[in-house]
Amino acid sequence: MNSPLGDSPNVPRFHRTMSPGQRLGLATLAAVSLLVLDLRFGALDVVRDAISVVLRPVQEAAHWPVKLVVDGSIYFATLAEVQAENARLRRIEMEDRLRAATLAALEAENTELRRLLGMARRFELRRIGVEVLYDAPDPFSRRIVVDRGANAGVRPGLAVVDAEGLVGQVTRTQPLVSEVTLITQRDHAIPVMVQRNGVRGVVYGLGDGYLELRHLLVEADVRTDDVLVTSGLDGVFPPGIPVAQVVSVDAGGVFLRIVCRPTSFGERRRHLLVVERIPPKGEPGEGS
Amino acid sequence: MHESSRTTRVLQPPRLRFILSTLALAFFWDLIPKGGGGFWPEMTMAVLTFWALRDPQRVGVGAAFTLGVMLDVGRGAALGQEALAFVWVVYLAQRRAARILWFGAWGQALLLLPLWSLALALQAAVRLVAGGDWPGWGYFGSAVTLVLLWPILSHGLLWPQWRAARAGGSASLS
Repeated sequence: MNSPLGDSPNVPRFHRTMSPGQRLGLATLAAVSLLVLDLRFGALDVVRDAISVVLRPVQEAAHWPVKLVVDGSIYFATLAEVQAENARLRRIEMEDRLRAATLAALEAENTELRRLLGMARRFELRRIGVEVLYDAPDPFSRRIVVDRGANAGVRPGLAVVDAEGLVGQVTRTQPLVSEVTLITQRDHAIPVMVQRNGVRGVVYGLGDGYLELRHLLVEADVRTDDVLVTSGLDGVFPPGIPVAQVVSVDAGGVFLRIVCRPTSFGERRRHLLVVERIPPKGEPGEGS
Repeated sequence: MHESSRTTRVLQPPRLRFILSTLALAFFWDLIPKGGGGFWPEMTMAVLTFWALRDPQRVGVGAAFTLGVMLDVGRGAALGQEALAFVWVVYLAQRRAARILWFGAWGQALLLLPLWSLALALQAAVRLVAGGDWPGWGYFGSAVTLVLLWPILSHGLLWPQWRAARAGGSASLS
């Protein structure tokens, strides 16, 4: 009396030809090869994209429960909280408007001066407002997923900022969502300079929420509370975005050990901005 | 508790549709971004373990590998990470199936705990070697959550077969 449902023809054929041990060996080999190709060489984006095409509807459906919880918690935020936030935002808006007015004048002046000096025009910025959907479910990395993707012009490599500074970098895009690696991710590198004196270096994520400014000789002039901003030397990030503030400087050996804290609130903000640096087109004077 | 192990022999095989839909449901659960670090049960791994024990003919290393790779893509993890872990859990569970199924649900869960812990440790080892962040001890808590869930899960997954047996299926097998 075997298999009253008549399922036995459905048993895969290789099942009878390979022993369980052999199948385990084969699968292990396949998995390890995938891991090496992916982690060491980053060569599997094609495979990933192909599988995501099938998975995307399921993934989107799986986001609904989270969306419900998040939206629900916002809906039930108390009126007092909303009023307080509203007041705070109005104040900030007023300050910003004032600053924007001055900035417009300065920008015009800057363009004019650059034109006079025959210098290339500064880059332009394109901004895409995004909303944080959730933390990426992978516990081994610090990434968030935002609600704009390749369809909205988001590309891997772009900088992601909040009002306080750099949050991270877009590392993977899908048509409707993209994945942002936070600057605190271990060994995530960003070229920076000290805002006070222009000393340049590279800041690395430490994986514990802090960052480290590396490869600076002990002579370098860096102090506690110095603000590090993007240097723009990578050609990707716009220069001048605040990244981190120095927490401690330790002159141990040849190099300084400088630990910094990110200036942005990043992971806890709901609304962020993806910024793209667009190289100036045409001659210096064209845009005026 | 021992009822489950004693009645196994007279239960009809589970319907393929039921196996597939429980795996799909577990997969869906695992794709929900939950945050909060650790302690959330890895349902795909649990359901795979269950079917690997109960229906090794149809759910084995191949299914584990396929679901693992799909889950890796869906979660944005390293490709092959979960596949590697699932493959080993399923293989070891099948090798020890006779011994594990001899126990009641709590006993089974305790015997499965080392397998699930191994799966989590394998993934952590792979990612840490490749320069990933330490996920915190809460990450390993999900194996404990699975132990606590196992009695409910295994009863729930066996229920359709029990019901069929009680509805008269067992008479034809006697």
